[in-house]
Amino acid sequence: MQPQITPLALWQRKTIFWSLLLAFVVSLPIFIFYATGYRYDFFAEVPIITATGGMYISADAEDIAIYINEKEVTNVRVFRQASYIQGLMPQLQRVHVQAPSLHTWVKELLVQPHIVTETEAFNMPLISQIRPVTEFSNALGASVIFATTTSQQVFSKATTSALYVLATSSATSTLLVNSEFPKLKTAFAEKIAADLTRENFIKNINKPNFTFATTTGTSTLVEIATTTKSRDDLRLYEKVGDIYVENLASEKNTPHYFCSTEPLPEFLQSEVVQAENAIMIEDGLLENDVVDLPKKCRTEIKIDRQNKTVIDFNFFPGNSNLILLQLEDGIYVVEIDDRSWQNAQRLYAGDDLDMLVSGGRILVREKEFMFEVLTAIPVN
Amino acid sequence: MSAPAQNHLLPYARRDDFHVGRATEFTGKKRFFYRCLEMLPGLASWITLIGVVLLSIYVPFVAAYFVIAFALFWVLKTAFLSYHLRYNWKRLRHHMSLDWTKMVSRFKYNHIHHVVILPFYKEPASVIGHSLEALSKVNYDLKKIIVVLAGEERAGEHTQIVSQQMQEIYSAKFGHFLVSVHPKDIPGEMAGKGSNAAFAAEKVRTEILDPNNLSYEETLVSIFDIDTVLYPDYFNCLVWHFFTAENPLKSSFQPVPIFNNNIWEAPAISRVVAMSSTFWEMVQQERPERMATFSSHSVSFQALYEVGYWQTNMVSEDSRIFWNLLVANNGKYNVIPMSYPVSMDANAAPKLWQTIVQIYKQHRRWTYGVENLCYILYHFSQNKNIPLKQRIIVSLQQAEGYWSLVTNPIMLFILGWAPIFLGGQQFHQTVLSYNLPFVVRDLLILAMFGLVISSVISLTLIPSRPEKASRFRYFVMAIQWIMVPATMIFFSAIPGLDAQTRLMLGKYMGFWVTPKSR
Repeated sequence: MQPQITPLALWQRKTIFWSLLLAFVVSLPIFIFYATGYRYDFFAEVPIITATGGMYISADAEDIAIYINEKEVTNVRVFRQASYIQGLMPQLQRVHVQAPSLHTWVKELLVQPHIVTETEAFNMPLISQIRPVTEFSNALGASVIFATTTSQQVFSKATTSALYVLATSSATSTLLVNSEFPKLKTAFAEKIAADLTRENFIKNINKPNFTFATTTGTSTLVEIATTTKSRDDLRLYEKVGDIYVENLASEKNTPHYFCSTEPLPEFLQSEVVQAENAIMIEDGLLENDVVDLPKKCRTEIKIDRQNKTVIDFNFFPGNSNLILLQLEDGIYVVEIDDRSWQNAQRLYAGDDLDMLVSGGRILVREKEFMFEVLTAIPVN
Repeated sequence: MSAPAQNHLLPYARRDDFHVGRATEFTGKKRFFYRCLEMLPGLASWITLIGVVLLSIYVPFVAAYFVIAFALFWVLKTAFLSYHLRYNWKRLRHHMSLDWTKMVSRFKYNHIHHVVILPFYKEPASVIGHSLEALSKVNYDLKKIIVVLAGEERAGEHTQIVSQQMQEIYSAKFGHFLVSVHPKDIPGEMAGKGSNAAFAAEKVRTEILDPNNLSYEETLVSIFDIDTVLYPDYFNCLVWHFFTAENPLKSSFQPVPIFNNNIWEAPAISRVVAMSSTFWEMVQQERPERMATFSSHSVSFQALYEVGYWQTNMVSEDSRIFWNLLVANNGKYNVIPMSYPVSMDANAAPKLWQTIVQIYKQHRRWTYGVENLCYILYHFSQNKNIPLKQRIIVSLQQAEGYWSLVTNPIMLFILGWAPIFLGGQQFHQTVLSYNLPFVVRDLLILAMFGLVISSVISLTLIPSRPEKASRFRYFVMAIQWIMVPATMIFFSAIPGLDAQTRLMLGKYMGFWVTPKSR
């Protein structure tokens, strides 16, 4: 009698081994081609293998929808707060990033074969979201807002999810003092005083001094920044009414939007300061050669102020690609990235505002009413 | 007791270097050569791991292609091994269902005697008693079984007390019941199972086999770890394989060690590691040309006697005895897989961290079996009577085994991501950089389907649920396999690398006895 099941026969083992080896040999090039961006178009009249690129879109907003060339993208690989779209044809791609009740971000970006184009989308609330900072609050912790013209104006163009009550009487004996209010009031007063001091200083240094008779040419003093703000390796400054962002980082740490692998527009050509570093792109899986694309980087980018007067500017809290511009008709969030147009989204409308960025918050004073402007719709 | 005379040894086994344990036993060129062999596995592993890191830094594209190829290779290797595992599982279950008494009835085997050597150190009487109790209940004529309870002098009174206790209970049940106490501090010996077993084997030869005129060729020696609990038909199954083997005296017989004695008490991490070891042995059972003896196994006394028993100067004697036999028999020796189980203990200490330390140390000892690779390569260079093809194939198989044991899990689960982090900005901007984690992750998920097979098989190999254990434990036992990537790294790759590095640096390991408790 023999056991009914005999050991695995050698021929069986060999068959499995060679089958799996064949599977390895056949599928390895497919996996590598796929990973490097090659796609086979099954639906084309003449089937063709195309070298595609990708796009990596960071976006803080929740529930975003991404459209590439007006078609919603569904096969997105999602990282934390970012989406990776692959298999994009190497051409100029129009990208929409939208979400309910938020501004839509739109940009045209060049996709190149085997390369991932990085970008950061941002979506501010369509209706301004604020948190009032009032002098008093009631026993329940609700901010007490006195019915004034300003407060009515503010709530006609903004909304809040914070707890508040409208006071019909000016009596304050039963109310609690909000400790945040005097601090904020002082901060605004100090900011205005500092601004005045700076303006006076600039006026003084612009007064005619003794000059040699032979001195000619325009003064460079007016080109000195009236104010400069720095964060990390970025410098934000004003020059002749325009706002510029300057990169001070080393080549290795330069933000991606300062560089491009495509030919820069003519007006930027003069600002190209380094072109020696090259991106090596393995493009030789089919042709077996390697292509070097020149990477061109600038040191400064001009911010689009939409032909409006800049009243104030600052970095956007917690984001190195965005800045806050206070223009004559309100406060805007503008992106530095100038590959195609710079998206600008109005955060708060108004022509008599003071803006302060402190502790990662955007604080605004409209006449006597102070509040924090929120950059996302609070989740209840 | 004097050492056995040399004339019974096979010609090659008479060489002075036959039982070499480490390079320090040599002098001159041989010492240098053996030392190089000791350094080889560690160097190969370290060069591989460092090489992947350097590739990721300097040629990240090449590293990324390599990682994808390796992940794909892993998927297919998993499929290959899972097929073997599933096949052996069917065979194991079938063998367990067979009536082996009936199977061996066609043979005349009354003349066959079995020597069962049970080496022990400080294991409690309950563990030893459990093993002897199972041995006393096998479906075999117990009068044909010679039990050798092999204790250690260095364990002190414990050896005497436990041996006496066991002798009182079990000596009448077996044909013979011999207690041997291995003297401590014998010059040239390493304290461990090998030296104890070799001492016991010689004692049983001189005190039982020779006085009773029992033929060495008709005596089968089964050496069992002290926690080994036999299934009832072990000896019938062994006899069947012995009689049906092409060359029974040139064969060792390997059961499947299932570490399930205490599986309901052991923590999940211990169960996964233990069952993984069982699965590896099951896979090996279906490709015997790669097998060496491991842990509990059986062999004819004649074969053992011809090579001077187990080596007394090294750690992994259970595998080394096979390599001794292979080189002494000029390559004409093999392992016959029995596909029949023996039960052993999974690691379980009173506290979880103690269990983890125990598992690590046990696996470091097992993976220190890499010292066998040096032995194989050395004697393959010396014994030209072994066919060249066999020497090359066996060398490559064993070298690949030790190399992949250490490097594969680390490359797959850690260094697979290295190009992404070390590849630099230029690599980071490419589609390949972004796709690499997805491709590798998807391939690894595919490979994880092999774990489903493992999970199902493991549930069929566990003993009945004790009343105190809830049914929920079945669920835990099914999903515990998600820990495999971690256990592969921490209880396979890292202890393996530890062992290889120690050997490479000449920091030789001693025998560490895994504590047993129930």
